Amino acid sequence: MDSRLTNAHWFWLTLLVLITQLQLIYFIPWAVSLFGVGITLLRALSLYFVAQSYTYYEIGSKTTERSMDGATAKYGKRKPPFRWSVWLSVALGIAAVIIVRASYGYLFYRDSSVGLLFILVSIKFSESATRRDAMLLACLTSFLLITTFFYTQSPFTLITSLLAFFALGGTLKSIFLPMAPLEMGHIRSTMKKFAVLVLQGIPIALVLFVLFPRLSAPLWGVPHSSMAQTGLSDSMSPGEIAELVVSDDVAFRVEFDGAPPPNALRYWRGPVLSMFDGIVWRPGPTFLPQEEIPVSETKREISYTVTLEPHYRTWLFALELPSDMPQPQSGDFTRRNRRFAYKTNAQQLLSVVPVTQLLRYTQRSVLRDHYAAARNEADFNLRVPRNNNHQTYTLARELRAKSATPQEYVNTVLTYFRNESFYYSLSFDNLEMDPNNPVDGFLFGTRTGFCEHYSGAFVLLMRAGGVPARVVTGYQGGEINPQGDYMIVRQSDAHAWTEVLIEGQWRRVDPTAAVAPERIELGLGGALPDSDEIPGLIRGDMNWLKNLALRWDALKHAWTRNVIEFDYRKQRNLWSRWELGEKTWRIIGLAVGLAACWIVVLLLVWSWYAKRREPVQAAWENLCGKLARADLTRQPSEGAQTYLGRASQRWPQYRETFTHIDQVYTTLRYGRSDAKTQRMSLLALRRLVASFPSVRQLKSMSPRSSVRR
Amino acid sequence: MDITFRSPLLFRVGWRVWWRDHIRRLHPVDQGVVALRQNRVYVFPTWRGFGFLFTVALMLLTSLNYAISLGFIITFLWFGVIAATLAQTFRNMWGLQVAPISAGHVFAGGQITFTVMLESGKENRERLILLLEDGDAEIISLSSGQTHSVTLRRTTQQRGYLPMGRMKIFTEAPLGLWRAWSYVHFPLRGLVFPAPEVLPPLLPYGTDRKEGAQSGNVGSDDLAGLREYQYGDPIQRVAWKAVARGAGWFSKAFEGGQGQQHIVLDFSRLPIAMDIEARLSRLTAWVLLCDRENRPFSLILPMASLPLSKGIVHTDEALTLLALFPGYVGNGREQ
Repeated sequence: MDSRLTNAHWFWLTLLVLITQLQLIYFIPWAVSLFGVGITLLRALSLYFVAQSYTYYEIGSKTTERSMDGATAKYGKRKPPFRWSVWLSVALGIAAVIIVRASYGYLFYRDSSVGLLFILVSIKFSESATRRDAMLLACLTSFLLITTFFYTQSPFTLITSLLAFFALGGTLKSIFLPMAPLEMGHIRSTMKKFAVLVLQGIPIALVLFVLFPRLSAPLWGVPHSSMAQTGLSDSMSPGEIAELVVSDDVAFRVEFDGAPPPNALRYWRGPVLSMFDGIVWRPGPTFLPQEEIPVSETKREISYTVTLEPHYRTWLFALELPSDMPQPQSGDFTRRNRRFAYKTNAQQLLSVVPVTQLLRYTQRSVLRDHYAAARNEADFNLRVPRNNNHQTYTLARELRAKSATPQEYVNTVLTYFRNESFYYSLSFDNLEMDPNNPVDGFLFGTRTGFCEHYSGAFVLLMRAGGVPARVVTGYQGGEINPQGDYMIVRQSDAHAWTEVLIEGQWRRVDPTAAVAPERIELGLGGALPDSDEIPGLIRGDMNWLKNLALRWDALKHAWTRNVIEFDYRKQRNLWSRWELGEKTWRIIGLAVGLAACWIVVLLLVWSWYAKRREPVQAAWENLCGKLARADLTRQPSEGAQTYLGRASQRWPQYRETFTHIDQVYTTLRYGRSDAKTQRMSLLALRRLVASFPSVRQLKSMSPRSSVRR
Repeated sequence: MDITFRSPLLFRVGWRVWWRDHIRRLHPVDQGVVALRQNRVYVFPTWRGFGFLFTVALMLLTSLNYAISLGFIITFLWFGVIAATLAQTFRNMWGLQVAPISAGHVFAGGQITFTVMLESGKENRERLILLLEDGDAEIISLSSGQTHSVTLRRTTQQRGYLPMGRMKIFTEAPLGLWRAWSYVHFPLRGLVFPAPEVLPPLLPYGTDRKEGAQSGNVGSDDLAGLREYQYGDPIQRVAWKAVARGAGWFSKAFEGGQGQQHIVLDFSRLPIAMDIEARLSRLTAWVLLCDRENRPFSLILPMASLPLSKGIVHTDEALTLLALFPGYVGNGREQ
C-alpha cells in the first residue's frame, strides 16, 4: 500500500526542507548548518542526477531483487550506484550529536536541540523512501520552522515562513496523491487550491490568535540561552548602558500598593560596582551583612509587586532602599519551601538561582538616599588604578584642595560638572576617546557622555580625593501605564549613579542630575537632544531609498507592537475592553464555537451554491418547460431521446434541431470532454433552445400545418 | 429474530462488529438512487491527519511556552487550514448520488462484478474510492455534472447468490488529513455458479437408457484416441489393454455420431464417493461442455430437473439450478 516516492514528492520535499533550513542557518553555528545543509544538498543533487540517468528503480522490493539475478540485470535497469542503509543514518546521527556538542558546548538545551533537529531533518530527508517517511519528514520540518522564531520574528521571517507554509501544503498534497505528476500546470493548480484552503482558514486563525489564551508564565523552564541575555550586565564600561537604552524592551513591571513615588525618587537598585581597573567597572567582593540594618522610618515604607522579565542573572530590583526580603509570588519558590533571595552588604538583592522565567515578588522599600555602611568598606572603595587617567587624578587633587570636608568636595565636583561645558547625550563618540585613559578622554576631551561616563568619572574623582565611593547600576524612572494602572520599567530606563561614604553613611549622589536634571525629573526622552531621536537613519536628502527604509521601519515597528508583542497582558487588556470576562475556558469555548460557526457558514455557502441550477440542466429544463407549456409534457420516466423523439413527431419541421439538441445534451451530460469543448457545447445548446419560437406559435403549429405547407 | 450483537467496546474487532451492526440498523437497505447527505457521511482524521494534528499541537505548545507570536500565527493558520480541509473533505462527499445498476454472475473462485452509477451533481469530486467488503478498491474523480458508472469486483468462494453487501465510499481529498466516508447498501445480488471441475470426465452419453444398453453401446463411434483416466469415467471406457500393458490408466475417447444421443446429466448417477459440491462441480463442467459443443442435454437433480434442450437460456437455467441447489441456498454471507 505504501508506495515509493516519485519526482513530484521529491520536488516538494526538497523545496520545503531547503526553505526551512536556509531560514535558520543564520542563527545556528556554522558547523551545524554546513553539515545539515550539506547533507540535504547532496541528497537533492543525487536525486536530480539519478532521476536523469536511471529509470526508476525500487530498492528492496522482492521482485526487483529476484530479477536482478537474471537476464534483466544485463539489459534492463542498472543498480543505483549507492544504496542508503540504516547504518549510514546511525553514523550520521552520531556525527550530528558530536558536531552539536562541539559547536554549542552543551547538548540538552533549547538551542542545541534546534541544531540537532536541523541535522535530523537532513538525515531523514536523505533516507526517506516511502510516503510514510515523507509524512514524518513533513511533520519534523514544520516543527523546525517554528524553532526559527526563537531567534527572529521580523516581517521578513513571516514572508519566508509563509513560503515554507505553502511548500508544506504542496508536500501534503503530493503525499496524498501517490502518483502526483511533476509538471508546472499541476503545481500551479495545487497552489491555487491550497491558497483557497488558506483563505478559508484565515478567519479561524484570526479568532484563535486573539482568543486563544496565552500563558502568563512558561510551562517549563526556559533554559540557558546565549541569545536571550538582555538588560544590565555585571560590568560597566563606557558606552555599555548607552547601548542598552535604545532598546524598548521591558525590564520589569511594578504594581504599587499605594501611590507611586515621584519620578525623581524611582531609583531601582541593581548591581553595585566597586572595582575599577582603569577602563571597566566590576562588582567588588560581596558578603552578607553582619547585622540587619535597622530601618526606623517605617512611615515612608512603601510596598509593591515587581514582575521581572527573565534576564538570566541573579539580581533582583528594588527601590532604594529595600527594607525587607522579597516575597516570591510565582514560580517554583511559592511551592517549595526554600531560600529565595538574600541581601548583600551593598543593599543589593540577589536571587539564589538565575531568573530564567517571568518572576513576581512583593517588596517593601523605604525611600531614603542614605544608609549605614558595613564595617571595613571604606578601604576597598578608595582603591584607584595608578597606571592611567593621570589627568583625572591631578584634577582631583586640585578640587580636593579647594574643599574642606568630603561633603564640600562632593559639591565642588558636581558644580564642576554643572559649570563646565559637559553634555548629556547618546551621540558621544567612543572612538574619539583615548581607549587607555577613558576617564581622561571624557573629562578633558569629548565632554559628551552618558550616565556611565559621569558616574564613572565622578567615583574616580571621589576616590582620588580620598572619599570612598562606588557605582550603582540599575534603572531610574518608569512609565505609568494608565490602562493597567501599573508602572513599566524598560531597558531604556537603565541608569548608573553613585554613592559616597561620608560619616559612616552611604549617600546617593547622581552626577547625571548635575548635568541633565531633566533625566531624573522627566526621564530619558526629555533629557536627550532632539538629534538623538533617530540615531540609525542617515540624515540628508529624502531619497526613495531612505523613504523605503522608513516605511520598512514603520512596518516593522507596527508588526512588533501589534503582533509580536501580543502577549498575555495585551490579550487580557483586549478581552477586558471587549468585556469577555476572565474565565479562560469560556473564552476557549467561544473561540472553538466561532471556528465551528465559520465551518458551518462555509458549508452553507457551498450548499447554496450547489442548489443553483447547473447550466446544462437549466438549459434542458428551460426547453422542457417551453414544450410543456405547448402541451407536450415530459413524463418523469422519459429520457431525453424518447421525449425529443415525441417532440419531433409533434413538430416535424424542427426534427433536425431536436436531434441536434439530443446529441449535444447527451454528450454534455454523460460524455467526457475538456472544459473548452464543454463551454462551446453549452453555448450551442443554449442557442438551439433559444431558436424555438414562442409558446403560442409552437401551439399553433401542428403536424398537419407542415403537411399543408 | 432480531439479535443485536452488543460487544464490549474494549475489543477492536468487537467494536467493528458493533459499528457495522449500528450502521446496518441506521441504513438497512437502500432502494434506488441514494444521495449522500449529512445523515450518512462520517468524517474522521486519517492516521496521517492524527500525526499532523499532533505536530501542530506540539507547535502550539512550543509557541505557548516561549510566547512566540509568529509561531502562533503559523500554528493557527494550520488550524484554520485543517478545519477548512475538514469542510472540503465533507463537501467532496456531500450530495453525491449513487444508483445501483447491475450485478454480474461468475463461477465460484472468479471475481463477480457489481456496477453502480455515480452522479457528481454540482461539485467536482476528487479521488472518490469505492470499496466492497473483501473486494478491490476503485478510484474515480468526477467533474461537476458528470455521471459515471463504476464496476466493482468481489472475489467469490461459494456458489449461490452473492449479495453486493455494504459498499463503502470514501475520500481523503484534498490533503489526506481527513477521511469522509459513507456506506451504501444496495439490494443487488450476483449469482455464483459452482466452479466447473477442471478436467471433467467425458460426457455421460445415453445414461437415460437402461443399465444394460449403456454397457454395450458405448464404443459404437469412432475411436478418437486415449486420454488420461479421470476419476468417475465409465468403467466400460477404460482402455484395459493399456492398463494390462502397465502403461497406466487411460480412457477411450470417441468422436462423432453422438448427435442424436441424449445426454442426461444426472446428479444421482455420479459416483457415490463424490460429495455434493464435487457433483455440482462436475455437472457444471458438463453443462459448459454441452453448451460449447452445442449439444442438447437434460439435467436431473434430486429436487428439480430440466427437460432436454439446448441454447443459452437452457444453459443459464441449468447453471442457475446448479448454483442454487437444493433450491435456494443462502450462502450464509448475507451482509
